[in-house]
Amino acid sequence: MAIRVLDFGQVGSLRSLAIFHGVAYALREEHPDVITLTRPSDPFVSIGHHQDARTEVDLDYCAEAQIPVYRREVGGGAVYLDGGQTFWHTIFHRRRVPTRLEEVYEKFLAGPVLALNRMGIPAVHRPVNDIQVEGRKIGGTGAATIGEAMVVAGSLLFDFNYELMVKVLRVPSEKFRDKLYDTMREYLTTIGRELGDAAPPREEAERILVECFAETLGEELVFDEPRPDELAEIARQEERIASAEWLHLDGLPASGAGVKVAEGVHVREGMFKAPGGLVRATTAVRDGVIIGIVLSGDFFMEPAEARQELQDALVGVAFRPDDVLRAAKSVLERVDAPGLDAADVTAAVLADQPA
Amino acid sequence: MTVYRGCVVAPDRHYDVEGDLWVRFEGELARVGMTDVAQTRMGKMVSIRFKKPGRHVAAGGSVATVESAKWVGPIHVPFACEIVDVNREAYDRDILIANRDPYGEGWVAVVRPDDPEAAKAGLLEGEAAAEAYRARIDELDVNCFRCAD
Repeated sequence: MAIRVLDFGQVGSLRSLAIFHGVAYALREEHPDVITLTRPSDPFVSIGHHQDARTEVDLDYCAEAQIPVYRREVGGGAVYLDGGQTFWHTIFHRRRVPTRLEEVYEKFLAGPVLALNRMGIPAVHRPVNDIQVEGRKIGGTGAATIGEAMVVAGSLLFDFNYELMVKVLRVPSEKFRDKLYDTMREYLTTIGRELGDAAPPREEAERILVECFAETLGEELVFDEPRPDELAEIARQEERIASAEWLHLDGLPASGAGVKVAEGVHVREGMFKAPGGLVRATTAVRDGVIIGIVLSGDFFMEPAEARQELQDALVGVAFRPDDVLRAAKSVLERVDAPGLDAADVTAAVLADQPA
Repeated sequence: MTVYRGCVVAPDRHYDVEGDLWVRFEGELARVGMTDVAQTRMGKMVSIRFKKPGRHVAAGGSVATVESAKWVGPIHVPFACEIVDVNREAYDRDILIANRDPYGEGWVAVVRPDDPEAAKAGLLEGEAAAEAYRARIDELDVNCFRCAD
């Protein structure tokens, strides 16, 4: 059975989500597998399957800016999306995909990686599920079992609105927002940023993607129209995803890893009440090493540049108690910081670590 | 107890081998959870959402959805039942509980099968379960591991 390609073109944001859920729920073992393509016509925020909308997203800001918020049945974090992306979904019957999740990603990310290569971007698959260009992520992916289908979700990221992405999230502080913005700019790239004027037009890029899926999957792909039962299921999913009941499902918070920017890159915030005042540490960590840190709060240090010196000393240090303690000590033992010692700073930096 | 390629198959319960689910019948109730193979394949859990106690679940329906860094999916129960209790407190305390102790503290739900005898008949136990799991572990080419800390 040839794989069906359902290219829905530009659709409303709600429908862009409902399409892959609906096609997945409609899939039975006797049906051919499907790849869908959609482009949202309007901006929206998509939250992960188990996220709490109120905790993760600034719902007041989104309401004011008329940005709808929807829950998806794929995991991961909240993300701002708009017409700058084309979403692709591989929707295969679960009995026809590899049993190991690592192999599922290998199988379905090979096409998008090859497509980016063919456009002139040296993208690689960084296991488990990132596609990266020289250490920077170019679109996230996720997998979910939906009905009888194994769905792998991803996007062609032509453009990304970093400003709105950090605005729609609820974050502990403005410093956190600034650090998140800087880290995203540095570790999340787009086709537009990589290729500039040489970026292919949208339709051409989508054509390349379909061609590369056919090559890497080694199967015939045929463009098709959705079946009536698929359209009916998409309509049902639209209703469900738009409901307040589905958006506000209660869930357990994910473990305290901060905001994930790319595979191995997180921004996190910790606080510690030291005798000399509150220490707030906003830290960007890449592969277990601190790559940027802002220390704020109401503690006192002299000379005035000591705070910057302490921040500089912590960059490049492993995100582990002993290493942070040693680096903090190297500065604090020669500056005046009443009621603040290296252990306090270490506690703030590592405070959001899960037990 | 069977241990094959690091994967434990606890002896005192029934299994839905393809669904990677264990079932321990306790009178008219049944406690269910993820197997060692399930927690290994999924990787470290980041979240779980339980269906509410009191809900009736059709055969093949789910009692919870789980999320790891690489996948989201339901925990299916192969027989019709009513959810009596869920292990929310344990997962609230430690989201990795199923990665550490899938057959003990990491149980997921207690259910009341509509027809316990029919439910049992659809599952494997003892040496038959161990044998089926050995074949599945080879087919998956998986070696199990647990979270130690």
